[in-house]
Amino acid sequence: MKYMNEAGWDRILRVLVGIVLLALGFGGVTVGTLGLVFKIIGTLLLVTGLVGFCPVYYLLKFRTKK
Amino acid sequence: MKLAEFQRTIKNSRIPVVVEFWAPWCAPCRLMNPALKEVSGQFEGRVKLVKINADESQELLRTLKIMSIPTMLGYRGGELVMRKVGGQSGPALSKWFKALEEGKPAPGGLRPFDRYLRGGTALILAAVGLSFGPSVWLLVLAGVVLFSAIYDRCPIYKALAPRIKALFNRQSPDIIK
Repeated sequence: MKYMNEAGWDRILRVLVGIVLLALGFGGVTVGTLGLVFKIIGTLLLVTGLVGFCPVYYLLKFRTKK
Repeated sequence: MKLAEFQRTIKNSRIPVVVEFWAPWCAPCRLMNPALKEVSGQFEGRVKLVKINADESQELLRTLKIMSIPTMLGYRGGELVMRKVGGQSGPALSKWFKALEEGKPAPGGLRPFDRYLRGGTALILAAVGLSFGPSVWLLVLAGVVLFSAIYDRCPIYKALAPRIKALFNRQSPDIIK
């Protein structure tokens, strides 16, 4: 797919980190502002990992996918 | 068609082969047939079309794991490279034939890596969601991710998607057209 700019390892890493952050955020391990930050960053990492496209990479004209 | 005859047909073909499993009683097959004939005519000599009556080829259905019809299989160099389930429109068929001819991935289809990544993520999210609480948000997220892994094989989505697209096309402003 042409729009993808993340390599396979990058996507798996994002998904795994995203799941950990979401688990911490929604699982009640972290509460308050930190919990909210974990939920937002976790969701962003999960979505960008699953889709294979990172808007920040796109803006910086960087890509891990060869 | 017998399995041996099918394998011979696939292996002996020098051009890519599209195999369509159909049945006389299958309404989507009948609907798709004129478009399929037209597209296969356009690709004459470049992509070969083999139509197989599913009712008369039970052994093939079992071997190739054909669960519903119409199902189209795309072979290149004797290898199965594409699979499409359900009725397709003329433009979609044309894209499919072109991708098979040029050796590109199937248009609009999820690659196996994406499917496994999404499916695996959904399972992990569901497991985490159940062990923490349970957390409704994580379970909902797992459901959404799981759907994104299988949406192109979901019969309900396939039935509704063209209607929803048609609805948006009808409402789109003339400027876009």
